[in-house]
Amino acid sequence: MADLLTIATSATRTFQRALDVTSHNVANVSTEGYNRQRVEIVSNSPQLVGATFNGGGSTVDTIERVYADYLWQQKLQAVSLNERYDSALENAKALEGIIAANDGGVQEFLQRFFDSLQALSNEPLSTTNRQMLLDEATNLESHIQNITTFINDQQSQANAQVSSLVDSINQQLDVIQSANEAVFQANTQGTFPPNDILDQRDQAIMKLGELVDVRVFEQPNGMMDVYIGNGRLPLLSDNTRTPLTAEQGPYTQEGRTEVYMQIGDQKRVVSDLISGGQLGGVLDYRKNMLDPAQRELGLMLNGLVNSFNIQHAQGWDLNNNPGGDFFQPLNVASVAHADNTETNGALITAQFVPVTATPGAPADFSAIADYQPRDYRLTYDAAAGVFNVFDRVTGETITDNGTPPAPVTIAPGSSAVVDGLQVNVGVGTYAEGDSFILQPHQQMLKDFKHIITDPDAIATRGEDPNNAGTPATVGDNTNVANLANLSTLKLLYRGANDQPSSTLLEGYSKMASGVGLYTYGTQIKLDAQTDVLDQVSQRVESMSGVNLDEEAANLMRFQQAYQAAAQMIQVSNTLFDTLIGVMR
Amino acid sequence: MVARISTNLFYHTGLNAMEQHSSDLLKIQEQLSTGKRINRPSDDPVAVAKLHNLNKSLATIDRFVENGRYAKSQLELEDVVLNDTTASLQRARELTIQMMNDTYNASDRQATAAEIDQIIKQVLNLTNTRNPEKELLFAGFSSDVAAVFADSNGDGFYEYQGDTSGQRFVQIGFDNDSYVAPNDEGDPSRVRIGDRGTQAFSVTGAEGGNIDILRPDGTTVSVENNVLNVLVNLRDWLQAGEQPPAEIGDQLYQSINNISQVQAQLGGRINRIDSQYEALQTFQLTLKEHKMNLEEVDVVKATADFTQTQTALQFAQQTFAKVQQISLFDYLR
Repeated sequence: MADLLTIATSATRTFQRALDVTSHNVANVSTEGYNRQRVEIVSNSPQLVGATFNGGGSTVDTIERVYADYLWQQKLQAVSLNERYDSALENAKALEGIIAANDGGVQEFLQRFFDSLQALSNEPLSTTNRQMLLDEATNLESHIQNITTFINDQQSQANAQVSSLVDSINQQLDVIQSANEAVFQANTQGTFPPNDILDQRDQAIMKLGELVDVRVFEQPNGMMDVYIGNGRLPLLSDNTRTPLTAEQGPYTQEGRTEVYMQIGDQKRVVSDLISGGQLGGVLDYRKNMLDPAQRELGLMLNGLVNSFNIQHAQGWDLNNNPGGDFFQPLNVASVAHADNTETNGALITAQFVPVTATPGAPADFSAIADYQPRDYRLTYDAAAGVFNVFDRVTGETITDNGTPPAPVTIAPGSSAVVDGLQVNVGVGTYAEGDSFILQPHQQMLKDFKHIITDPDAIATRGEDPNNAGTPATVGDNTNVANLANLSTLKLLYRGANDQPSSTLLEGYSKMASGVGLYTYGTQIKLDAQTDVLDQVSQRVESMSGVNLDEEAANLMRFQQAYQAAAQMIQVSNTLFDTLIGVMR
Repeated sequence: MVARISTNLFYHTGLNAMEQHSSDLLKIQEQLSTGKRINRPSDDPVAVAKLHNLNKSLATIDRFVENGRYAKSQLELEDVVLNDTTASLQRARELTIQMMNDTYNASDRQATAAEIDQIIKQVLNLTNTRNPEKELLFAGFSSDVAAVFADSNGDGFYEYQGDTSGQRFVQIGFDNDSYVAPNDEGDPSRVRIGDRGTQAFSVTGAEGGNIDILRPDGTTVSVENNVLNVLVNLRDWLQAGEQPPAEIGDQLYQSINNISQVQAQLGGRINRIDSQYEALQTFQLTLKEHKMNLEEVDVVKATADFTQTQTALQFAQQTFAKVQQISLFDYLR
């Protein structure tokens, strides 16, 4: 039966709990991921005394955490995006500073190279000027070399980041897995929800969200399922882990780390399905900034090398020989897919389209305008007995220059022109689906160098105007003047009017603008996303965060209530004493 | 209902504001200290391509100016050589006219022949003038032959040894088709440096060909059309102790005229270089201004922004410190 003493005792217990919760809140004011807790105090069921219901005091019904699932899910998404842009931006800024710096850099070295051609054009017999041209070519090369080294570093850093992020993701999955276990145990044992364990699990998921974009679904048993790839690929389902792995991509020679996942009984590359978190950021940066920058820079160099060699072949050197290759011409072998029947990538090569010299008439640079900043995938169609050619990134079929454009196919033992480059396919034991990739522009970054070392071998003079097909006398500067003209000639990127639209330097600017746009765009997205995250965090904080003033008020409230309840015990005691006194 | 504010929210909001202002401040500081609005492509990706082109045009103009200077120095060297040649020819003509006078006897003429011989050597020497790169000025493209004029068939007269196909052109301005054809004569972006010996030392003004000269033995022979051969003929007449025929004086006079005509053209080319230089300077000025507008920071605006952001940061710091001081716990005693 509820009497004054039991009611008073239950009240002290209730307010004791309330004070405990208040102090727990104060203690966790700075704990990340902590949701403030609140006691739900209910009155005990009344008891029928005679004809009236007598109250039975109070008790703590539950201690709940103040938490909204929808807000938390929003925050999880916002954190993933924020981390994605942040990590992409960090990488992008590093690359931007090196390969597209505003001062100096490629444009300055290019300019100096062409200046030395102008000087040589003024005095084509000067040994100093001839040597100077070779020296400036070397300077340009060493600058390109530096950039290439840096880009390669960036590629291997991206590889390393992917590996270490995948490791962290797996570790975080372990944490969530054991938190799931703890929640399950707590749910079966306790009566109140295991608030702090739930907070810790949420926090672990939030940490995972920083690494990769995840979707989570709570199961009826309280365990949390974790999915990546827009909710399609289960990382944690029924508390069973499917770990991600970071391994060499399918074109193993390429040295590119990709993210794999075991799906069914198949191991699949899932890199393209990951869009958020730090991992998403690194993958996006690699795919949309680093790779294109590399291709566009390489394309510009291919344009320089090919046009220079073509023009050089139009002239004659001091020893009466027609101009040979000034720069090392492109020669790139393909990389074979790991599952291929034919694994020899060297069977498929790409090179410049051969051009016949036409001294006395402008040189033919038309193939250069067809270059596209692409990597190519060649896949064997056994039924037709030919290779089909695709854009490696978009999967688009490559077409030729005909009207209407027809898809390019290459039979083994023949060659075809693909976007202004000649692709040769040797005879091999190809099977249906065998795939090879060709990276002609990336390769030029590595191979860019001049192969003429004898200053006398520079073909400065052109054709004798009175005698076609024979060299003009040694002092002629026609060919070197035309070499110098390459700096102002539009050579690259066939435009709408079917004419090349860019000079070599503009080809470089295109790369620099692309790099700048990516960085700029990412910065803007990051700013916007930071605002979103701030908003969501504020709402989460506003609902679930601890306010010390509020806790101080609660402290006073519950303390007073506790004191009152204690006073009731005192009263009950006094009543009892009075009753005893009456008896005495 | 009033929105709940958690204690952390106070903290984070204050901190975020300070971080934001600091990062803005850093950006303005970078702009002010470099003087540039665009420090990397992402600062203005569209302007970057324009900037690259401007930089290139500016550098190219520098190159053209440099080329112009070189061309001018070559032309001036040629001018000096032609002046010297004219002086020598004048002297030869004076002597010719003197020796046509009856007051001189055979031995006087023979003595003068020695001087004419010296003049021949001197003019020969002048025709072989080389630039600092050791290239012959008057040999066309064959700038490495031993001598521009030599007695190649042993008849005592001189023949041109150089190249007849073309002359060197130096680019002093932008070329609209960026192409030089072999022996491209009419391209306005380029200036010819040097004249072939057959042109500069021609007697008749026509390039190449032969002239008929009257020899002391009374025969008429056909020799190459150059002033050296006139001098040789003059020397031979004097050597023979004869009065030189008036024809020789006329030929020398024609040669001198021809040289001054060549010099006039040369002056024209120098003028073209100069006016091209002026034009390029103006063009460069415009480009530089355009570049400045594109690239450089508006100092006044940036300074104002700097002060504004700095003030904002100070306020953020002060309010943060104040807000952090307030707590109900302070009143619990």
